[in-house]
Formats: sequence, structure tokens, C-alpha cells
Amino acid sequence: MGNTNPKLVLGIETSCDETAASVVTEDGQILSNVVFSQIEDHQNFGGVVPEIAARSHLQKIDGVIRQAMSQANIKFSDLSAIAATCGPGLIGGVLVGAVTAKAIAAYYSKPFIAVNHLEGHALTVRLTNKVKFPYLLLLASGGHTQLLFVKGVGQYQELGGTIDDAAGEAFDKTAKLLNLGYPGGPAVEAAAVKGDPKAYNFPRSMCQREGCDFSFSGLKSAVLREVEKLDQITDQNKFDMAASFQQAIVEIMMNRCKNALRMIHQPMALVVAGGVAANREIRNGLERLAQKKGVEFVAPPLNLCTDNGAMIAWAGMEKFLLGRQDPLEFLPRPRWPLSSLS
Amino acid sequence: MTKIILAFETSTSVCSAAIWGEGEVMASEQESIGYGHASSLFSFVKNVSQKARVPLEYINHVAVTRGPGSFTGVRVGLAAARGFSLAGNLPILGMTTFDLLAYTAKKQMMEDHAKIVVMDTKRGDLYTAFYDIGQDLPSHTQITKPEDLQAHVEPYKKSYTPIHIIGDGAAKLQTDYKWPMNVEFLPIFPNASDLAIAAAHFHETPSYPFSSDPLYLRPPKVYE
Repeated sequence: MGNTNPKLVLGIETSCDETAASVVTEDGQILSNVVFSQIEDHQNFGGVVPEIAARSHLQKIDGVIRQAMSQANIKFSDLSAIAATCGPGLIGGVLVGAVTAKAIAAYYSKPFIAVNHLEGHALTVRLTNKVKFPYLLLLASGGHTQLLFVKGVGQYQELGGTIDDAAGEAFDKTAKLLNLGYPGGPAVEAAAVKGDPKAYNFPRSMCQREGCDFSFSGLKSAVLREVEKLDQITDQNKFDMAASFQQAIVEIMMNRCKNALRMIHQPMALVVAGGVAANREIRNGLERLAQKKGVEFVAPPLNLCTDNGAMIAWAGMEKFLLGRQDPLEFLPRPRWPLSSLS
Repeated sequence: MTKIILAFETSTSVCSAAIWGEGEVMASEQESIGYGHASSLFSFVKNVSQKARVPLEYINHVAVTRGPGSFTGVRVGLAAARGFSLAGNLPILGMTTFDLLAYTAKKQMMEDHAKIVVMDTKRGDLYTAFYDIGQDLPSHTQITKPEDLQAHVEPYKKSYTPIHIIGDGAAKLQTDYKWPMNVEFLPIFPNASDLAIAAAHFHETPSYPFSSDPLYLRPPKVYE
């Protein structure tokens, strides 16, 4: 009887501005994926305010989990394990999700699995596309931008990362400069459709250099300088700047990924993850690069690029199936580099 | 069904847990840990469950404080309470730290007087709640500068009515300022044993407004 029941993991994500919970099965079915976005709470500030985020997570956490369980149509006692993001991220929010998960695990004496948020993003394509190890991963979100060689669960070699802003942060700051709204990623992308990507020649920082580190602060400053040059900024100026900014990001991403593929000398998949991977121009650019280099290109569906519970449930499942679990004393952490897991 | 309460308290630098059943605290554990409640709390819960020989699935109520106190600490307590509540479909007996300390003081002093509960905000002021004599709920709450608190005991000075200043902010107030004779200080801090006792008491008092919502008393800080 026990063998015929599929293994089920509940995953909880609260590291930034989405309160999310999901149940996945060991064969990669997503039985529920509930995401409550706090965008409205932070809109007026042009970015996520940590204390507002933490308060909102607490208000939503039990409702979101209850909904995820009822949509999956299972009971807590049916779960094999409970997984939660334990960092990196805004610690006030991380604590809410992690502590709620621990209490559920404690009550049922079920395994608790502390998931690294970045690992959740890194393994998402194994949930959605059954991608095999090893692969090259471009992880780009509001808080992180890095290129990783993913060799296995818990085995991540960092090939390069941003030396200043994250890519998503550059989108948010540019959107704020151009008064396009929040969150910046979708706002810039929508404006860019109406603009000329060649109108402004924004810098492609680091692209002349070896390796695959990123830098976006110069790009953001270049947009600011162009804005300051204008007495009055028209909508068309904004669209052109958004398109030119986005074009610069696409070219930077392609250049860095090209170097990364060269560094690892191995035919394999090129995978993108994180909120910035929801940008269509970036996806298209990377797909062209992958085709040219003869490697498979894989991007998760848009709703699994941004933060969600399914990626945490799945990372928890991968760890659970390898027999791993964490003590309830595991202390959530604001910083937790993926390379430290190996 | 016998009432069994799992209580925990994480709103100050002290972390504590207790199990209450059959009319008394069966086991409790407490430690001044500074930070890291999200880690220690679960060791404490496991330990009190073992000491009391009460497996967690026998618990039928969860008691927690809901602030004011450390924002993070308050959230850790309430998130844990909500997790246990979800898991076991248990009611949450959530009390303010003010009400907990006011009730604990009343029991310790074995007499009831007007009370001011003061909790150190760690930002140079005090979370403050004012209780009239005979009341379990405050007439009002606010954030007060320590130097402004003396004005609040003035009316009691004239009438020689005793008044108690209670809480983890009380000791410093007592040494830093001059007070009239009728002011008495009780420098106690919230802990899970007292919480379990108070929650059990108020659970029998249907009018007490238990809640699982945090009481912060201060809006979130926004950095531009």
C-alpha cells in the first residue's frame, strides 16, 4: 500500500514579496501552486520594503498554505516532508515561512527540509522539463544575478556573478527613473515594445572582459544621465530608453553566457531561471545563442520563473529523495551562497 | 476533553516554552538567548513535550504572545502558533504581552491595583499600556518616552492610591527617576509558563479577546 502512494512535499516560499505554497509529487506533478503577491503593498515605494514584506507574509501565510493543501486535495498527514525557503532573502519574511513550516513538521514528526531559495530556482527545470545534470544556469532575479554550473543536487559551481546590482534591480531602478511603474521588469518590457533599441547606446559593462561577472550600476547611471539631459521627457523618449536599456541587458546576458559555455567545454543545456528570465527578449537572445552553440535551451514557464512555492517544494523533493533532511533548529539566514552547499 | 496547552514566548531576548495540563504547568524551559528564537524555540518545544510526557499530537490549544515586543520575535511566535494551529486544527490563544504581564503581576502581588505595563522597545522608548484597577484589558496603549511617564502617575500621587509599574522596562525607570511612595515596581518579563497560566485562565473567561494577529504599536520603517 505504502509504495503505491506517491511521495508529496509541501513547499513554502516567503523570501521576498510573494507568499507562496505548493504541493508537488515525486514524478513532478504540481498539485497546487498558490502565490500571493504583495506588489500593491510596495508599489508606492518603488521597491520591496523589508518590514512591510515581513508583516504581510505573516498575515497571509496560513491562508496561502491552507489553500495549497485544499487545492492539492490532501491532508498534512499525507505529506512526506515539509520544505521551506530558509534563505537567502529578506530575513523577516524568510523566518515567517520557515517557522510555520517547522511547526507543521514538528506536529507531525515529519522531515523538515531547509531549501536555499536559489537552489529552488536552479532546480526548477528538472521539475518542468526533466533536464538532466549537468547544465549551465543563468539565474537572474531582483536580488541575484549569477552563472552557475549545476552538477547535481547541492553541487553548484559559481562561474560568475554581479559585482554590484542584480539584473532585476537594474530593471526596477530604470523603471523608477523613467516613471514606468513597479515592478520594473514587466514595466520596462512593455515600454520597450514601443521603442527603438538602437536609439541610445548604453554601455555593455564587463563585456570586454574575460570570465562571466556582471555589472549593471553603470548602465543604470547611463540611463539617468540621458534623462537629465532632457528638459522634458516624452513618452517616446521613455520607450526608446527602455528598449535601449533592455537591448543592453540582452547583449550583456548573451556575452556572459557565451563565455560561460566556453569555460566549461561541455555540450549541455543552457538554462535560465529567476524573475528576469520571464523577459521575452532575454529568452529569445539566449535561445539564439544556444542554437548557435548547439546546446539545448530551457526556460521554465513564466509563472515558475518568478518566486513560487512549487520550486521550493521540488527542491525539497529532490533532497528528500536523496535522504536528506534538516534539524528543526536550522537557523534561517539572510545570506546563503549556493556555492557553500557543495 | 482535558485541556492541554502548548505555550511559547519569543517577543523579547528570552525564549521560552511550556506545557500546561491538568490545571498546572507540567514542564517549562526558558533561556535568555538574545537572538535565534527561530532555532531555539523548536528545541524548547521538543524538550517540554518530552519532560511533560505529552506528545505534540495531544496538544489541543496553542498559547502565544502577539506583541508588542521585538518585531521579529513576535512574528516567530505567531508563525509557529499558526503552523501548529494549521497542522492540528488547534485554536490559538494569542494574548498581548501587556495583558500577560498585567495578569501575572496581579497574581504575584496577590492584590489588584492600577497598573502601567512598560516594555522596552530597544529604541529608547517604551511600549506602554494603562490598566485601571480591576481591569484585565488596558484603557489605552501607546509609545511613551521614559521621561514622560512620571506625568502619568501624578493623579495617583494626589490620591495616595497605589499604582504598579510592571514589565521589562520597569527596572530602568525605577533607578533613573524619582517616584512618589505609592508607585511600586515589578520588573518582570513575559515567559511561557506565565503565559500558559494566563491563557488557561482567560480561556475560561469568554470575554477575553484572543487573537493571532500581531500588535506592533509602531508602523513599519520605510527607507527611501
